[in-house]
Amino acid sequence: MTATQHKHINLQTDQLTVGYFNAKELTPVLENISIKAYAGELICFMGPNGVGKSTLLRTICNLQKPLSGSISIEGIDINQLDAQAMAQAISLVLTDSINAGNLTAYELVALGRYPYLGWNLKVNDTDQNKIDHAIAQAGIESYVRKKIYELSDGQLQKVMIARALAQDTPLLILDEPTAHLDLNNRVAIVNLLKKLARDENKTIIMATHELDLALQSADKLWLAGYNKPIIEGIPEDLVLNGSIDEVFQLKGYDLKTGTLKKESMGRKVNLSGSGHTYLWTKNALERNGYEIDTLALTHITIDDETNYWKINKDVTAHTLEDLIKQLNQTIL
Amino acid sequence: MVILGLFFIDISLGSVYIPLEEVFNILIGGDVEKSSWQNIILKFRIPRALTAIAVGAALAVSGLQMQTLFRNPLAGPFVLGISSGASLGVALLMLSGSLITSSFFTSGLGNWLTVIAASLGSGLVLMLVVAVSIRVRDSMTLLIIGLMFGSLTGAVVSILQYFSTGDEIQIYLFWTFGSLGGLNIDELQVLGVIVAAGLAVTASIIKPLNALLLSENYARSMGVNIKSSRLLIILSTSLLAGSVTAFCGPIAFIGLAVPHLTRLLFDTSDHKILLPAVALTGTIIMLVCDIISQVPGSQSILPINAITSLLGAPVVIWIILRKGSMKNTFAS
Repeated sequence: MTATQHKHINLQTDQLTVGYFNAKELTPVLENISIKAYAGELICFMGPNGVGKSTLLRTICNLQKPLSGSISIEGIDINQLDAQAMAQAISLVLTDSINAGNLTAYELVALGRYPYLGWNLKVNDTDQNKIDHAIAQAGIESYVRKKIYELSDGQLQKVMIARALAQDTPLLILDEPTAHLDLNNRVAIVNLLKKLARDENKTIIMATHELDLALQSADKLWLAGYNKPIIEGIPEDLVLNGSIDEVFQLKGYDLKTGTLKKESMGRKVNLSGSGHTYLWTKNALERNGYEIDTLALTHITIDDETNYWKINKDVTAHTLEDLIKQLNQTIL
Repeated sequence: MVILGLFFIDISLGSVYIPLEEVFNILIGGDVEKSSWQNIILKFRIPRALTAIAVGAALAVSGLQMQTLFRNPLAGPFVLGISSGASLGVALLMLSGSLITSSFFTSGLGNWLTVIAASLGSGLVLMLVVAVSIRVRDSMTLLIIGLMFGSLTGAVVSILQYFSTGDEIQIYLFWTFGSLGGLNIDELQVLGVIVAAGLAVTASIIKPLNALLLSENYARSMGVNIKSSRLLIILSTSLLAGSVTAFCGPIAFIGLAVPHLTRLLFDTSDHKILLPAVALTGTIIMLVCDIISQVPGSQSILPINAITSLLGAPVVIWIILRKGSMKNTFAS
């Protein structure tokens, strides 16, 4: 299923310019933004620091006024939505530190129902179902009775996402939800968001700097560069047409292969073998300044059965570290 | 139950010894041996104990609100400069050195004059704080400005003291010690009504207080109107802390410590539970402090301000050490 098959537009901006009123002077940050976000899409919003990502997101959430242009959510201009209606349209996951260590994860998720509750905080059946559903969808059942201060960073982030789910909004906006998390948790969060976009038919917009995760999971990228309009498209198109290179001005990272560029030091070896061992041997060689060349005189063979490497059929290495050491001695 | 018990103990203690059964008799309206005992109980001790209850609840609840609003464990009812404003008013009255005021003091009107001066002083500082709070976005700025107002008024009080006579300074100093005993039934009624109004305002903003546990941005995203909530918080704090300071002087410690104690004891951050719990704990602690300040079996009454800290500080330290980090219950 591709993004273009979704018909329902959750968020649309028209000729939007965002920025600040400073000293009675307009300071536009991002100009002429006309983008659409469809239901069921995970959108990664990327760009260098200070380019105005937060300013645009704040403007979409109606926390600051646009300098010109308009924003509509499900076809309604946000100027016509009051605070209550906005809270039922957009939920947030922010990087703000929270002050609720003594709440349980469950109580924190339940806070998501606040836009629907009266002053006495009475929870009805609908609210209860939404809370339970959010907890199940985020997969946090096993620690929902724990206190916030007992949770790990990864668990807390999932609880915050569950809270946003309980708010039951067509749009979910996250500001760097994977910052400070380890690789496992980063992948878990992104997979969770992707699943939520599909299952709940939400539009999920996530500001992030994680290019590798974004390329592999986003339905769409929004790219913001300095003094440029925002570029939108599916990740692969933006890689191939060079938009990502242009925005990030990547140094030493080869986008086409998705790896860091390795400097060859003019030393060439011939490598034969197959599978994972071949890939990682190649990685180790390139990282150490060797270039793979089928015409090279030095020949390395991988023996998959016994798991050792041979250089020119006579020298044997049992680890890659050993292999590189032997090579350095042989060639220099 | 605890409160009833403490209330009974509180009114049975004092510089004049009255047997327990007689105290009970007076309470249920039975016959008494000496009519002077009835007078002491009904006109002095009961108002005093009722004052303690109102003061304890008011200060503790306003402290709770300030800690939540400013996300700062060191915040208390007086961070906005309420007590400094009251001190300034009282200092102007008592230290201005005119004969008129001293004659008022001897005529018994002095009590009301003090109350009016304190109310005017704290009201003035508070209006400035409110004016500022409408202009500034974030509460931290407000906190700093409140502290600055406090320093300013403190400086003016110092200058006044420098030019005053020893007697005047002594009268002022006695006011700063705090006193629960000075209130007659009329004054107690006024205090009671104001405190009840303040508590009612707080009860109406439990929802925004809970939302503020996350952060101001999160609260806003859940449809909370930050500015009006902040105004209501300031309003109820000024009613609660302002009226107590006007009638009883600046009573320290209760407002800062009781919310922490209650969070630890009840193991929650939910204001729906915390608000009544904090009010009850404040009441209990204030009654205990009042009992101790009368030094059972002796003729003298110690200044209440010294007792609250003398008793409170070790209790708080003990509970923190026993229950673990306060950071857990306050932030995450």
